[in-house]
Amino acid sequence: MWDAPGFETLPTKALLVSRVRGAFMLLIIIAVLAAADLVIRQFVEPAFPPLVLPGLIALAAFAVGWMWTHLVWRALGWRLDDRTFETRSGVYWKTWKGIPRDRVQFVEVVSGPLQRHYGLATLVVRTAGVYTPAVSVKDLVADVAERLRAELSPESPGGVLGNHATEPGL
Amino acid sequence: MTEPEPLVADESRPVPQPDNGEGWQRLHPATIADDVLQRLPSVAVGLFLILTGGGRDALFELVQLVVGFGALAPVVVRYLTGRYRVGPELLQWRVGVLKKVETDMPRHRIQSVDTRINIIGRIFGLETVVVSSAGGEGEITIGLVVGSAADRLRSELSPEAVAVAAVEPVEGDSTEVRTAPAIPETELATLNASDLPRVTLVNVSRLITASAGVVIGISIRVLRPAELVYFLPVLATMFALGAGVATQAIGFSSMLYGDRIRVARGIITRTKFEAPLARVQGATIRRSIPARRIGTEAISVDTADVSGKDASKQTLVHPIAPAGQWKEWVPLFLGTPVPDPGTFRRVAPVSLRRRWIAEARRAVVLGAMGGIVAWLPIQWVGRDYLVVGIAVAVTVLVPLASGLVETLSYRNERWVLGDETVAFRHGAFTTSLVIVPRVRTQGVLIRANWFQRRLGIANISVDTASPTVVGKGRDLYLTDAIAVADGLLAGVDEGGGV
Repeated sequence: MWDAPGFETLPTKALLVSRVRGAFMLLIIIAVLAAADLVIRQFVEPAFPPLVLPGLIALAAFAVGWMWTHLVWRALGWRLDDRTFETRSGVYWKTWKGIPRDRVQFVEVVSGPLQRHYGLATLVVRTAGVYTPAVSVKDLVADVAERLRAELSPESPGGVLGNHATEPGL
Repeated sequence: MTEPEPLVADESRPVPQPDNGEGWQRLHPATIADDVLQRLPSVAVGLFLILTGGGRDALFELVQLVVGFGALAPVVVRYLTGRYRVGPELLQWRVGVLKKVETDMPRHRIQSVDTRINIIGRIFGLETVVVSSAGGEGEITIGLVVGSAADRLRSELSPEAVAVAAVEPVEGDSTEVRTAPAIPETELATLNASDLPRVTLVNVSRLITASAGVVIGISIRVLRPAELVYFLPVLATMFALGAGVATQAIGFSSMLYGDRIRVARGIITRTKFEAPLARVQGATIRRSIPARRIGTEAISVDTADVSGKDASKQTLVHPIAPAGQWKEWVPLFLGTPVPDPGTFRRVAPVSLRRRWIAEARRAVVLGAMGGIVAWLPIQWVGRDYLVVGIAVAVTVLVPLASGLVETLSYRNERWVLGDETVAFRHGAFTTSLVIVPRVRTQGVLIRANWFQRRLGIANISVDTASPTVVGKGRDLYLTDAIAVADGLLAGVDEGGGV
């Protein structure tokens, strides 16, 4: 199911973007920890020098985040054939979602500034289902997202998209 | 690098319209005024920051201006970037600068086209057109546009217009199959006050709550006879619970006529619910322990969410139908034969082991927490056997009780993939049987954590267009889950399933 052949993986740029997002989050965490460290030092004098503990925590978070983003990126994938659109995701909880192409209500391509800088986009495939109303694939190559949108729009002709996601130039 | 495979044309489907950039329509400039009204707080903050700039150092002033204009900018984005196009197949909508949203909604999936007129619309003679497809989030809001454009959108996009313009119906189309089943007028339930005791008995949760209310009320009355103020809310709660149950008996009626189902209920406020059978997504049959003892079951139908959250509801058809009645009625509601209960399959037996291991893990966590919680009072008051006893009892009894409930639940869990339906049964004390026609499947989700994957089992959810009916199976063998998913995904047709 999750290791089935034919799943397209995301481009390495997606991993980079994911890590950039994580870096932004890490900067915020470091700022909060540093501020907390400085405030605490107004009242008590810990045994270790200033900013050492926030630095160590940030270093550990960086290492864990670096590996975790890789695991998450490796687990993500999508597959399209003439009947269904499938996605897989998750590291501890593995999830597989399958949508019949005939159930696709409409398709969106959303891209933020960071994604556009790296030529990526998020594909959102919406169905009438209420439990899983939208199946999204984050950080696809923009061209692939556009082609998938055209392909998945209900009036498009059927056919297999092929292995384009990881190819250079897309 | 390999060349991309050419897309294979399918002559049974219309070819998408080429995007030559023509035909896009913009919104009316009064959209800006509309957005100003909608974003009044941020506009006020933005104006305040811009107008109060100056008099401080240049950097501070620059930041103030940037933040001020940043707060004002969103009010012009929708007007400057919003555009729509109605093509032969698609309604297309584009908006956004930083976050661009491009939405393509197939015209034949449109469920409703509504018009809203707010105060700005009244002043300028403009309207907002809201186009909904099935599902809570499937909505495009186009506005403000002039009245004539709104009229044109309504006439072009209304489901009736699309249906008229549609091509020949596809063979096996789900909507076509269930559009007008020839069902003679059938009375399903007509209840009165004499049914109230049985309806009360089978509503176990309300019964337990009401019993707890009685106990609390009597306790207050006995312990604090002077403080009736606490007693009255208990009485009011019991009355509300009782009224809720009473509406399922006194004056409750349901019937089938033509291609519709109608349910009337309520004593003071009468509510009549009516839905076309073509919108029924599934059926649920519930049997509590008292219901099993007196030989009844509660039958409900679930309808599609086609116009927002309010239109979706589970409609009780009969709270105390004779046991086994569902086998006759559900085929009428769903338009498909129902699976034989004898063909239902158990979930993977290894599931029981997983559940008890999960409970053991919970016992360890609870034990650790209980130890910490018990340690604090022991520090204050010395070794107290009552505190230690409570901690041990909680640590042992809670997981044990939970494990027993899980065991009961495991014994009741069943599933079957029939020729035309998929069904799941679950529940420890009150069992629920959910039956979903295969053509109503909107998607399938399979999940498994690391431990489940080691055991070769997984959970499966079958999604429909109704918020109240989701077929869920827990701890099926992964091979069975895949077989169910493959069967469901291969069995849908081109009717949209809504």
